[in-house]
Amino acid sequence: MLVGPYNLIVPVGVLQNSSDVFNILDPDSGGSKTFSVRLSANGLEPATYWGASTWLEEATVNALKNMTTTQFKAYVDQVAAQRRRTPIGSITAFKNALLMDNTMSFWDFIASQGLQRIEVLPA
Amino acid sequence: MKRVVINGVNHDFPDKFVGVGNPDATAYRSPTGGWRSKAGLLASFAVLSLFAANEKGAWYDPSDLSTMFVDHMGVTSATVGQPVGLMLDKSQGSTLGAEKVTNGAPASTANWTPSVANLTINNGFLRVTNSGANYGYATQQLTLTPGKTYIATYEKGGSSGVLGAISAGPGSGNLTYSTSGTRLIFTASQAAFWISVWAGQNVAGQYNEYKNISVKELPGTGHMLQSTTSKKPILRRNYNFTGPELVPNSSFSSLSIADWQLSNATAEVVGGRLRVTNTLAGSTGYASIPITTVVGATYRIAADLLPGTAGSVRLRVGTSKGASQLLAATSTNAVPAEFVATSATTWITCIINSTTVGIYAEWDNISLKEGTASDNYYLEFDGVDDWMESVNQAAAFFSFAQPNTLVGAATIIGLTTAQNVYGGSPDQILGAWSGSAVRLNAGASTLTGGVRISGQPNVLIGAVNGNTSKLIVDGTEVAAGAAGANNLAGPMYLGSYRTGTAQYLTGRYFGGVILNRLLTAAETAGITAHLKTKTGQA
Repeated sequence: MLVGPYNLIVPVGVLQNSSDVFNILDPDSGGSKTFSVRLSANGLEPATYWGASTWLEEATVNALKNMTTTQFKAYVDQVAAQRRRTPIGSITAFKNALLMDNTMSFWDFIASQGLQRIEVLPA
Repeated sequence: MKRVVINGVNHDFPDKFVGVGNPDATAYRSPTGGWRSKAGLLASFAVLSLFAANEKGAWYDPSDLSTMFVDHMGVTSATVGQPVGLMLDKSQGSTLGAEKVTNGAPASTANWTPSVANLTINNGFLRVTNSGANYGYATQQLTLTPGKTYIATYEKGGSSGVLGAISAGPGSGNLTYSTSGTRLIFTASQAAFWISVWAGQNVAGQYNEYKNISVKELPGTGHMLQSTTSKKPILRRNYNFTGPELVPNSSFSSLSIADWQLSNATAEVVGGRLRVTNTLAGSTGYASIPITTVVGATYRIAADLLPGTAGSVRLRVGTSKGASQLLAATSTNAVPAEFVATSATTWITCIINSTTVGIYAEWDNISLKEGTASDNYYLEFDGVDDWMESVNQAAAFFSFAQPNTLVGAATIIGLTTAQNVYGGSPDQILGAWSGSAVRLNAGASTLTGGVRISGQPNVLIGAVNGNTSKLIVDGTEVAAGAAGANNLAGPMYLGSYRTGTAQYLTGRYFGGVILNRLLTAAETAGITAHLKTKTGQA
């Protein structure tokens, strides 16, 4: 059972680490692409944050909200083994940088962080 | 009187009905006798008839829950309130193809090749046992059709404790598609494809048992998928809101607002709107009205939010005066919205988004109606990052030369941004343009027309045919002319621009059809009526 939606934001500098973590945490196989919404203060390039609006397993919600980085690392390693996903060395950057909310709309949440979406049609 | 064949059945129509388009036509003579309503006939339209001549295309129907899955590999069936990662194409019916696995029952270990495993038969099950501290498996090479989608299933037997798994991929023991569940849906990327059943974890002696191992082709090739949970739409049940209006004087056609309770504000009806004005500095004044509700029932709230001098405006729904547990709308895009009542009294609050004395905002057409659950379902797209993509990216399935047709029943919320129901490649789009118009685009030209109301469902039809393309909304042609010369070259995106990177749909998708030809007038009327039953319009 998945619960949500949860608004997630990570700084651009930890996007890779965040994607590696969600490659494991997403019960489906496409978790590495979880963060796909480019954000910046003025809605223009370059992106300074990446966001997502997602549903999560209840155990993952608990892990993200309540676990220490040490506990969270153990949780991620356990899930990786269960799902035969590629394990990662460190989750610290992601865990310490993640902004998470489920009390407001995605748009209100990014606005509360002083961010706007960057939307440009591909060529 | 004229006889017309619809869906393979003869129907005798009064002359005024023939040719459709006659607004007075309301009835036809049934082949079983008596007169029946035209609306009833059209609502029973057989969508599969559109594909009866081996047309290419797809038919999506979220109300058919047997076609909806949480994960993109079809392991877990979707239920209401859960993300959807796979929606099957129903255009070619539901009959599975021939069995591709040999000795899947199995009677012996024949046809199964072990890899670091020992294979035995135990009470009709194939037991796969690790021969060492490795991930052992039994595998069988299949010959599949590239681009076709298949369903693999098996029955579980005994286990030494760790769940086994089935996998499929373009190599022996390949984990391209894998699950510990008993169903797996995958698309073959090449003819030589392997199915594998696994011993479990990499512990010597670990075993799992399997029987009735099966791989069959799924009909249809336009299946929609999304493998990233954050991008999946949500399966929702559709409710009809045709009951009485619960908000007294909801359109403020009179000056009566006695039921509204005020907090640090004054309220009055001005120009047919409710105007609430701040009276205390540092406070956000509001007006609230209590409505009797049934706990557990679903309600739909709608309203026009007008910023006034406050610059922005808000609407709340909660279980007490001024509260927002059930809805906190901060923009016009946030309503209409549905919620489940959690108390016998639900409060609607119109709150000013300013703390300055004398500042006001206005609200109009504040409506609350109780819903009745229908048998129909839809996909809810969040407008943030949700979209789906036709499964055959590399194959030529959606490579349709013009003319072709896009049909989609959708509720599009918001009027300020372009949103797509379908986003084909290259640039074949059916959706909403900025403002109230609907649009059809197939390259250099864009066909726009119609008047769309945010939050209201529409059946959109784009008949893509070069300079004689047509845009049809709810059965009425709203624009005709050039829509561009692009042929559809696949893949098709649902709920976004092609590539899934922009113009996300905020709203609901009730179903639709993609077809490599134009529709006849009767088919246009039929599919429109059929989809209106899905949206609750009919």
